[in-house]
Amino acid sequence: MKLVLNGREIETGDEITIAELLRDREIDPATVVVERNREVLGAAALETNRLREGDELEVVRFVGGG
Amino acid sequence: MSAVDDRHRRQVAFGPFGSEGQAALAAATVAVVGCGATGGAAAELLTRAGAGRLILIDRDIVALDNLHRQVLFDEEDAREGRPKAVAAGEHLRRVSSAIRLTVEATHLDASNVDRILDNVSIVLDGTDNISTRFLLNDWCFETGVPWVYVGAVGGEGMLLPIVPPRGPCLRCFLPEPPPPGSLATCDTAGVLGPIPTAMGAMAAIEAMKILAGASQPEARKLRTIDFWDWRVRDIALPPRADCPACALGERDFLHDERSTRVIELCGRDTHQILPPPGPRLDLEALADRLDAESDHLLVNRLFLRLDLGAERLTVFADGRALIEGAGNADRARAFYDRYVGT
Repeated sequence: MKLVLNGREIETGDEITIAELLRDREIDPATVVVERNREVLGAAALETNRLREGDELEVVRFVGGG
Repeated sequence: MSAVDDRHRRQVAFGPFGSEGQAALAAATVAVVGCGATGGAAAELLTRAGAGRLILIDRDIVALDNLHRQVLFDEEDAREGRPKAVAAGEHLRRVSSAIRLTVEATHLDASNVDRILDNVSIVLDGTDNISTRFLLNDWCFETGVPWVYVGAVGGEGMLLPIVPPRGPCLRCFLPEPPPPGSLATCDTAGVLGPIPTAMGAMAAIEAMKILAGASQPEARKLRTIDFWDWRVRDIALPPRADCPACALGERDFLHDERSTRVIELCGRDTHQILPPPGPRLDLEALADRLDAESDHLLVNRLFLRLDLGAERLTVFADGRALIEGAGNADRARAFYDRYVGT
């Protein structure tokens, strides 16, 4: 299915959770803030919520450095 | 109109800030923790804006590969390897003769944070590491002092103004420090020169709003900017009900163990050796002891520098040292033990 991740359209398997999508991309779900369709999700929701066609995800990784 | 008023008249003319904002800024003490790229830009802008007092805190020394982004320093600072807090203070003194400056060329940690940040109005994050940010977050929630988190790596920057006792705070975003190596650093991702200055400017603006009493809680969003692909995101980060710091009141990072630590500094092959608090080093005596080792020994009131070509040691009177060129933490520690001793 198609969805939008950080403004770019991507193709994923059906029925995957947000945490699975992140781990596929080597992103530790504990180190990011995720917005799904403009709503911030808690850590538990990342593991349980399944993505749907057309979802818009914003995944924000902590920026160190300075 | 006095000369000082004349200096800031165009800023005072901006109605929402005005003379009340200017007076609040003039009465404020701003701690800048880390005077590199983000912190240096924020420090200069707040000096120009009319902050009353700045506390400049930095543990590092100026190097040539800092100059593409760290606007307070020049080639002479890099050539001499001057402590950043000292070089920053001298630069800012030329910008404003009115500002009161306190220079702390040291590593901020649990053992000295109460002393160094005593009576500050606000803390600006100019650090390049997670552990100091967790310390600042705990300290600010313990004391009720606002702080502005800011980061810049690669082509992006991030900012979050944090005003205790209200969340969200840093640990609503990252409840625990991520494992070493899991975040992009200036080493692994590089950093485009103008980005940290842009982020430091935004941190200075947020500080001015907070000090002027004009920072609205609902406007304190986690702001991320991808400067390269130009994407700006504002996220209304909800305070976590189980946040260790702002909800549960834990202050784990104010209770650091008192042991010698080795920290890799962001951006180049430099390690900091941090012994537990103790008596100050006699730098002259150490210089006498090291004299046979090198023709390139420099000692002054603030630090001793031993240049052995590939490796360079800078040791401060509090025992803290920077080792450049050691390659890894263990070799840095060994280098320290060999020349300074623990």
